[in-house]
Amino acid sequence: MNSAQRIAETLDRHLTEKTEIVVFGAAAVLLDPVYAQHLENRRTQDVDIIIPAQREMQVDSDPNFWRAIENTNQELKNEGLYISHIFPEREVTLTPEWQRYAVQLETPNLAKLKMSRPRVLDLVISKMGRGDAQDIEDVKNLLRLEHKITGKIFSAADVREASERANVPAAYREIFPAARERIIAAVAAGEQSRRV
Amino acid sequence: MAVATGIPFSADALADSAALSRESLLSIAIARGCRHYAPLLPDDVAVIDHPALPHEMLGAALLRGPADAGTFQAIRCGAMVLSDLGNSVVRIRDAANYFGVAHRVAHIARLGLKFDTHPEFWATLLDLIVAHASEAEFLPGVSRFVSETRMSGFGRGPAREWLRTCHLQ
Repeated sequence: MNSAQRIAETLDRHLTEKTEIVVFGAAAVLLDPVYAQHLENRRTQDVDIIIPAQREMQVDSDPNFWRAIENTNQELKNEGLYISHIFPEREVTLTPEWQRYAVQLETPNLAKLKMSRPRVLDLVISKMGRGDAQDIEDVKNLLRLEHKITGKIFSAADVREASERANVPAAYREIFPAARERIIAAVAAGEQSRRV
Repeated sequence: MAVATGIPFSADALADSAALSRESLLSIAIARGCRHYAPLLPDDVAVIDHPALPHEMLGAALLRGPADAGTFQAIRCGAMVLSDLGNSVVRIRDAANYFGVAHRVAHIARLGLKFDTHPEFWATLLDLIVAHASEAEFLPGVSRFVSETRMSGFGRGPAREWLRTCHLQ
């Protein structure tokens, strides 16, 4: 069990009813069994969550959910693991159609927690809110992994086209154009090396 | 809050810290509370403190390196160490100058002044730092120095906390 799976398993135990969450960041691939088996050396200390727009008010006012999050963090405190970054959809850079293509994660051992993740294209787009050195490295690793598992090569043109229709939160609008170009340059470099 | 000034480093402490690898520095930082950065350490590297290493030296030493992803992560960890409110600002300045990372310390301090709940610490440090170089395109933004959630439960709203060790408190 990797660290992200440990966090998910703990949250599942603390939930009192069936709950759906969308995970992103490093946890998105570590919680996807198809990808996780190729990531034995990859670790994370936290699980980041997106709350879809239509569920934001319901989740925000659900005391059972927040109690489960608190109890999870308390239980895992000594291991340095936690759930802390919980973002409403409107504060994450994503394509308008991201939910339609979200990937359900198979977690047969979890009783109440149901998880999904954005497709790889949206995970790339979500990095354009910042586009710093770590984001670029994450994108390179993600696309390398995607190619290894599915054989798919993302083209810079596809990513650019998706980025042009992305919903960009107000906080990121100023830095988005430059951040987007840095991410697209990383995608282009990976595309070129994989096509050779 | 009183901002510590501190006594100068010994020549031995300077030489010791300069000789440590990034992996060793990360290991020490994790032992001193930077657990968020534990994934940066290979599984076979033990987390061991080096008590003789001054905290300010540790933080500044982590800021060294070329502008790449590895250094970027080390800078985040170093910032968490330097943010310890028990650190001496004079010793941070001296360590920053010794390692040639004053401009990186100044970048962290400017963000801390704006976003941390302890701006007095950063203001005092900024008064001491002379930095001419700039790496604005490379250095981490504020979101890399804080733990932030936009939702934390009904009535509580967003929360942002500047990451710092409590090793010296």
